[in-house]
Amino acid sequence: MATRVAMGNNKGGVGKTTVTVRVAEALAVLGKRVLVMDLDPQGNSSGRLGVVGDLGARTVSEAIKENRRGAVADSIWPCGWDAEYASRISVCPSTLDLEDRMSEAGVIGAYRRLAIALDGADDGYDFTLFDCPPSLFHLTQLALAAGPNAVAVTEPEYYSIEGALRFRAFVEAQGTNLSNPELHLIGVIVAGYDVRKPAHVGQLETLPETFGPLLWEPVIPVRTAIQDADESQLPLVAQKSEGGREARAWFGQLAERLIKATS
Amino acid sequence: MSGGGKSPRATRRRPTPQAPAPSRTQILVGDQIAAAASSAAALVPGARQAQVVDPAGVTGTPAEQLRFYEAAIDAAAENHRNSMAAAKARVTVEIGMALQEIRSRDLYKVTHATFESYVEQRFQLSRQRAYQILEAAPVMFALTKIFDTPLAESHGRILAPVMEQHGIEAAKAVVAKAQEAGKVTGASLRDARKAAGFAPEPSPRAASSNPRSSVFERLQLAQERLTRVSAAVTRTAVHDANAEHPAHARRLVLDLTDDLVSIANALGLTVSRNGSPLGDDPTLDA
Ligand SMILES: Nc1ncnc2c1ncn2[C@@H]1O[C@H](COP(=O)(O)OP(=O)(O)OP(=O)(O)O)[C@@H](O)[C@H]1O
Ligand SMILES: [Mg+2]
Repeated sequence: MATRVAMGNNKGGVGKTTVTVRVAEALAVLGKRVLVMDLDPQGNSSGRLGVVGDLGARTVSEAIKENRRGAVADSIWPCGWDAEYASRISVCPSTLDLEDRMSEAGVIGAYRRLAIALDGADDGYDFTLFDCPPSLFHLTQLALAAGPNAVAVTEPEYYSIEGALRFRAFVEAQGTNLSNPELHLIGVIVAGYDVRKPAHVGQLETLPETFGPLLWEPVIPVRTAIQDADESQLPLVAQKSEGGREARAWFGQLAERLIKATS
Repeated sequence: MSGGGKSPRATRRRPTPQAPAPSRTQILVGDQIAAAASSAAALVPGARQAQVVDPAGVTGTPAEQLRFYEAAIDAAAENHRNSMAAAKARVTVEIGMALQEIRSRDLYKVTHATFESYVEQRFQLSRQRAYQILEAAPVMFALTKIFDTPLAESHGRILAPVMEQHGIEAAKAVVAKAQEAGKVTGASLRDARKAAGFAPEPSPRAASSNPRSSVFERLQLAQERLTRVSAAVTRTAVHDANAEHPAHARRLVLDLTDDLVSIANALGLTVSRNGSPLGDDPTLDA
């Protein structure tokens, strides 16, 4: 089984998907094989990894619905990027249909369905990264029940940090309820740092105190190259600007940090 | 474990986010969701589930204490509204889905000639009511799997043509849009339906049942006519009329026939002018 890591925050729009996708990219650059599980019905990580168009029944929603060991294997797509290392990235994509899985939250044992569907399906990978929706409910719980590691992603902004703290508290308290007593937070990644915003500068100062050794370096500042890569559904390697180069280096360091934290 | 303690530095104006107190984290996790769902299902409320405020916990000024108990009353009223809405929706879905099968498999024929007479006699449901339920139930049933809040039957009827013509995803989108606009009401659903470009085309059945739409009016009309008939048709009146004015007597018979046909129509029966029954009402079986 791959090393499974759920990326979360209770708050939306804080960079969860960007960090998941770029850390996956950086891990692949380092030679790791990565499976990205898109657990957000918005399907942002699927799109940004170039998995677009008609996905038919090959989505994470169908894999969960099947409730069968290893079902995820039938819903895995290759990353659509044109880059050498992209062959080491696979995606289990989502569409809006994933919302339908929410109604199963009331079924006994439903929170284990993704763990079951992944069983055996990610054996060929080094890492499985879960891009969680901005919520602590069923879809995020599916991810947290599937593996021992969680990483909070946050902007250096009040409500985002609050969301990260809520995610941490949840992860620390709920492992047993999710039949996953090993579950723990291994790190906090700070993204979307905007030096022009006094609020960001102020909150950034407080973060070491708030998260202590869980705080990972480096902080990812806002860069046009990152947003451009996201929007054009391209790899960072396609961003030839200085910002693109910087971003690749930062995410590379975060990928190494992740490898270290999980080895 | 609460990392963000009080800042030692007086100069920092910006607040540091605090870790949530564990007891305040009320998210249901894992099988707790299923447990809550099944107790919610069992909780079409009885006195047994009543939650009474512990007086020991109510302290403070009289105004504060009052607010506490008033909140309990508001919560009870809210619970009542929600439970009633859920129970009503459940009845519509359960009856409607069963009626649908009884009708589509012709099971009513075991005991009755027509579906309409079956529902009227077996369940005291007027045909109009039965068709309302049949119309609303499928979309309400389909949407129970998607939305937590039960859909009112009247909302189901607004969404029924959308689902019939464009599928469940379209109906779901209309509800989601109404939710975005705030509260889901008949008006907000109609607006959302219109905004989504789903014209409220009357379904063929709705069109054919429109002329019959006000059962109450039709019954009133029928009753008035029956009163008139029974007042007019005395043995002497018929005898006298026939003896003195044969043409008038024929006229009277024609008038009475008209009245009887109207009454029959009002009741949803079809009769021939010579009195022999024709059988089922073709407009409803179509
Ligand atoms: N470091 C950055 N520099 C520039 N843009 C960024 C950066 N990080 C994130 N963004 C942009 O911010 C937006 C929100 O980020 P992202 O989609 O990753 O957030 P999210 O937490 O996954 O949101 P959601 O809660 O909706 O899933 C995106 O448009 C993304 O491209
Ligand atoms: Mg996202």
